[in-house]
Amino acid sequence: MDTLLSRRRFLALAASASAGIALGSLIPRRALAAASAIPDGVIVRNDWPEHWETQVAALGRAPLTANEHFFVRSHFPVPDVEAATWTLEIAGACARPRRYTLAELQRGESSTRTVTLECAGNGRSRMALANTSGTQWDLGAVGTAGWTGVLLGDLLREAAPAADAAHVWFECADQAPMPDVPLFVRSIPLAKALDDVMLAWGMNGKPLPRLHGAPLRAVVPGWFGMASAKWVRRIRLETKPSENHFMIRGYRYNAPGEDPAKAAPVETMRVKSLITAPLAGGTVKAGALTVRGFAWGDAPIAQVDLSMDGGRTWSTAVLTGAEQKGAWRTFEAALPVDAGAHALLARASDANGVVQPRQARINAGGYGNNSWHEVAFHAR
Amino acid sequence: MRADRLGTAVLVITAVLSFAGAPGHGREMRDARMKRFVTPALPPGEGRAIAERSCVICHSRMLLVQQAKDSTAWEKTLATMQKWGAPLTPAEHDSLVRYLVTTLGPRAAQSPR
Repeated sequence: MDTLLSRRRFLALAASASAGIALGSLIPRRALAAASAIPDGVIVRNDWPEHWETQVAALGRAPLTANEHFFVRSHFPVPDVEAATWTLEIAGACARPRRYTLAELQRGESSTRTVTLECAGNGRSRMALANTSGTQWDLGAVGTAGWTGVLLGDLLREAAPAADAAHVWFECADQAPMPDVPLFVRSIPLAKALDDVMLAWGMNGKPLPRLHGAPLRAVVPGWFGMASAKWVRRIRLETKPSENHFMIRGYRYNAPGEDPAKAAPVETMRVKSLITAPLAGGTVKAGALTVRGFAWGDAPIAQVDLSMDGGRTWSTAVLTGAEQKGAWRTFEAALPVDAGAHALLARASDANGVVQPRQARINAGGYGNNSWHEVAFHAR
Repeated sequence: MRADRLGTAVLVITAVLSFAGAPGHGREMRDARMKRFVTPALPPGEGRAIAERSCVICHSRMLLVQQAKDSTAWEKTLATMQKWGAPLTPAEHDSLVRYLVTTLGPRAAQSPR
């Protein structure tokens, strides 16, 4: 039942390869089976490892994204992790390293918080790149859930970080089939970890699904999704950020041709809005158009503006629902619309005065595309 | 158009099927309406067999067919993959680069959407 290849199995596969046997046919069935049937409302961008995005129509159904529709981005096959025997280790630069079972974590003080996660590559397919690597996400690699778990800060304070501890590394259980592929490790500053980061075992009132990191995942509000590491098994307090491949080479805002290691890291989400009604290509009744959508970023959303004339004039939408730190805001507006073809634009602004750009700056990895969302539709 | 090619290659049968139970995805997944997904094939061309043997160890064909790169970018990718254990002889490496550039070359200049 193991998704992963053991070293012995890898050596057997390598021997098969040298004998001219297709390795592809020997891939663990579990990884392939995982994508054999998918929920309605989900777009498979990659079948394995699973990269699934949510249809905009499914996102628009409710402020919380249903678990079965929530986007999935995994670097490696979903690992087999038994919750009953799984432990979380807190280690590294601290006075009181400790190991917890899931039951021990769940006996402590828990909370539920609504947090939006967005894949850093969301919108990559819309970035004008001649050379592009990675999954070509459209708009739906984003979602919001109620996450239940423990505050990481509480566990870290119990561990008593050393005076020079400044970063928290998440080490995870997932592995690539080939043993030389780096493990997925991400780190965040200790100050952020002590502030509002959760370790979650619940999602929207249900046990965290394996696809989303069960038994335990990080939830890092305001940061792109790669920071919210799944299947976390060890958390290390360190003096420096991790130099793992996924910190130094991946998730960097390097321009085409620039060395990623010298470019700015991809960290916090950018101010952005998504129109969920009307839908692209849809037909609505002429008269009063109801517009709905979501806006999010790393700071509270202050305003969402809508334009029906290419950005020459704007109408301000009403922000609905309560403001919750780290969660998207819903917005709504009623705009007059004549019969014919139209293009609706949305532009969000945050409390720091940062305004969503008409066009996000190009970067080789296609990260952080927060260009204005444009929806073409017909009214009749 | 690459999107068209991918769209053609990816066959999603939209008939809603009763879900027999993909392992480990939770009860809520079994309650959802499910549709069958069929993985796409790699584009035909000399070198496809090498890609099947050397790339589809770690990730699906579907990830491969959505890439778009010139020869410099593919060489960079293959250097990383070989460092990580992708089994390729020097001759296979050269064949694979030709195949990838021919079938999954860079995108034409396009306006951002």
